[in-house]
Formats: sequence, structure tokens, C-alpha cells
Amino acid sequence: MPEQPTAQPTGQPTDDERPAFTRDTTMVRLGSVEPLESLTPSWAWGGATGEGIRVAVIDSGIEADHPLLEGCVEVDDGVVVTQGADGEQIVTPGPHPDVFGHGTACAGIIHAIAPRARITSVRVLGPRLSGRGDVFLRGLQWAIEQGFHVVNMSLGSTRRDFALAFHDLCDEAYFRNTVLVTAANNVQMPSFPSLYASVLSVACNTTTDPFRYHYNPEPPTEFLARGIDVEVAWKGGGTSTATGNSYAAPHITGLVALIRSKHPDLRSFQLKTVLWSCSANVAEAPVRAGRFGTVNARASRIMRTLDTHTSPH
Amino acid sequence: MTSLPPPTQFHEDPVLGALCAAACTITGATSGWVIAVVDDRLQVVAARGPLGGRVRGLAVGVDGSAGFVAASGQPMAISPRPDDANVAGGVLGALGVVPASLLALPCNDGDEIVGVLELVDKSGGDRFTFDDVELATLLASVAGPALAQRADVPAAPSPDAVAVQLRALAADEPARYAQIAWTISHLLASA
Repeated sequence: MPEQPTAQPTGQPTDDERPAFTRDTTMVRLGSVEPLESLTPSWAWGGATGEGIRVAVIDSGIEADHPLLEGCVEVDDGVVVTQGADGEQIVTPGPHPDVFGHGTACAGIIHAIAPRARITSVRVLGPRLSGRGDVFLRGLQWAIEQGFHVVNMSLGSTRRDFALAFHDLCDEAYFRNTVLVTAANNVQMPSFPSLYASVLSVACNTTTDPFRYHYNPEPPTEFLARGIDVEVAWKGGGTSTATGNSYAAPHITGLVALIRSKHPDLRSFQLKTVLWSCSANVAEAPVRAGRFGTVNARASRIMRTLDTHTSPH
Repeated sequence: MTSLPPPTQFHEDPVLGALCAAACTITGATSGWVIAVVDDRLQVVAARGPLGGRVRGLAVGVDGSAGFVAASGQPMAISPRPDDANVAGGVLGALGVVPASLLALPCNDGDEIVGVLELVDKSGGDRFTFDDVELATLLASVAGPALAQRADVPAAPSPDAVAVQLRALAADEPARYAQIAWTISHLLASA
């Protein structure tokens, strides 16, 4: 005869009888939390430098000795991913050049925003065009395995047969708390992994302020950052003026590095909320009419603060 | 610097040529070319402008701006410095030219990158704008399927090449040559 569960004196079911989701939630009780109205740029990244944050740039390589990078590149930790003769992916560690200049440009933008973040190159672009999707996937997988805090991918794949593999990797990164920042495709066609909810997908806005970005309420591109006529570090120790979503993504990568250096316990979804809250258009948008009428979010925060300090208890 | 190869037989696809011309007009580019991806090499299959005339049929490696675009699928819109190493390879490297402005876009056939549309030297010395990127992207999206279809159609030989073949036929198989000549003249007379 099966053992009968022991009923509580009050008639309440035991832990064994309850569904899992109703069990005692002591272990998930939180300490203090920050209210949403506190999520200002000052709170998010004020005074931060990116100290302690490791950033991977999956791209064409990085010219580590470029003067504008000021030694921020972990030269020996970088890898080059290539496809072998049998189609296998080969990860070769060690210093390597930038074969195109694009990776150096992205690294330069990130460094300019988060000067103390350490940047590692994952080169997935090279002299061969064949197998680039597999190489890109392996490079992303390697970066996730290494536990980088942030990964910048100013490139993507339009190959739909890679869609599921990218989706799985992006989910893995999300749960490991590695933030993936990608450039949205400049053309109207699916590009992976920029379509996925688990990444930060970025396109250009028209601002010249590297810290002024916008939230896009029509995903999958969720943020718009500076990417037009950007003065960037370029291959050969020089600079170039460049335009494209490629150069918008590293602006957000830099901001994420700053935020994570100041608030290391934030998870990916919280980071996205912080970024949303600090977006220029969110701060300047009128809030729903409440105690203070219809005002923008910034004014609303100020008024709530004043109200808290002046209201009688 | 890579020297340009001697001109070879080159047959420009009229659709690709028209797209290239339209891209130059719409963006203000002085020269432009459509490049096909052929295994791990790039080949110019249509070109316009003073620089374009020098690169028709040129085959290059993937170490330049067009190579980056073909490899990454990301467009490139830059104003390179005179000593920009990135333009030392590929088509521009073969030309020995550093353009004042450059715009390169991927051409997709479905989800496969089959070529690159590259435009240089926007008129007036200006940089290519984000509007130029978007406009040229539309043309590049048409060039992609055109490039893919071009690969299925063998290039027709030039009249000179046909003449060589006919002279050889006349020498080796005079009866066969006579039959072909009679057929062609009959078709021309009835046209």
C-alpha cells in the first residue's frame, strides 16, 4: 500500500503535494531592488570606466597596437577561427592582425566609451569566403564559452540554415549572462542573430553624441545609436569616417560595458531595461497622466523625488 | 601594387550594367562596378565611369573593401585616408587608387551573398550618406538575383571569336561550312 502523505495539522497540503511552482520561495527572496524611476544615466554609468569588464569583438581582427586603442586589447587571448580542409572549425589562439579594418573600428568605438574595458579579438573574417557562416558560429560559441561580459558582433549571417544554431547560442549566452550586441541588417532581409529577443540589436540614429541613443518601439531592432559619419580607428594606424549599423552597435556595447562595470549583478534583461530607461526618447517622452499631470519621464522623476522629500510622513 | 591584367574577352550583362549605371546616378558616384563572388575570388562583371572602364573583367582576391562586404554581409561606407591600407587590396588595389569616398553593398540571391556593388568618389567630394546606403541597397538587392542568373547563362562569344571558329571550320570541313553559310545568308535575307 503506498505511503500516505502526512497532512498538516491545519489541513494544508505538504510540500510534496504542492506543485513545484507553489513551494516555499525563501530561496528567491530578494534583498533591496532599485525602483524603475532611479534608472537614470547617472545611476547607470555615471563615473564608470568599464573597469573589470571583458569585451569580445567578433569581427575581422583588431590592430592591437593602434594608437587610438591605447593598449586595451588582450593580444595573447585573441583567436582566429578558420575552416579546415575537412570543413571542421579551427580555433587558433594568439596575436593576429586585422585583415580589413572593421574590427579595429568597432574596438575603437568601444574603447572610447569604456576606456578601462579589456577587449579581445575573435577573428572570423579572413581570406576565404567559403564556410564563413560556420566560422562565425564557432567564433560566437568560443566567446560564450570564455565567459565574456559583452560580445560585439557588427556582422551577421543571412543564411536561414544557420538560424536555429544562432538561436541556441544566443539563448545560451543569455542564460550565462553574456550580453550579445549585434548590428541590425542594413537591408530588409533576415539577418542572424540580430533578429533574436535574447540579443541587443542596434541600428543607426542621426545623432553625433556617442552617449545619445534611442529605444526603437518596433523590434527586432531595439536600439538606435550613433552610426553616421563616425570617425573611427582604421587599419594601418589611421582613421576613417564611416557610416553604417556596424558602427552603431559598438556604441551600445561600450555603454553595456560601463553599466556592467558599475552594476555587476545585473542580468541581461535588466540591462535591457536600464538601457530602455536611459534612452533619450524615453527620458523625453510624456508619461501617462498621474499625480503630476502629463510631463516627460525626466520631469516626473524629479517631481517624485521632490514629493518624497517634502511630503509629511 | 598589382598591375592590371591585359583586357580579355568581356561580355557585360546588360541588366547588371544598367543597375550599375543607375546606382552611380542615384548616389552621385563617379564610378562603380558590380562584382561577382566566384569561389574565393571576386570578379568585376559590370562597370561604369572612368575607373570602371579599367576594371571590367578583373579578377581579384578578397583582401579589399569588396572582400570585406562579401565576407561579412555588412555594407561599407567610408571616406578613406590617402594612406588607408584597407583600399590597398581588391579592385582599388589593382587600380592603385584611393577614392575620396567609397560605398560597397552586398548583393544577395536569397540568403546567399553572390556579389558586391561598389561605388566610389561621390560627386562634389562629398561622403556617401545613409540615404545613399539605403538607395543603393535597393539596387544591390536586384543585382543579386541578376548575378545568380548570369552564372547559368554562358557568355556569348564575340563576333571576332565566331569568325575565327568559322574560318577554322571552312578549312577543316568545307562542306559543313558551306551549309552553315547558306543557312545564315538565307536567315538574313528573310529577316
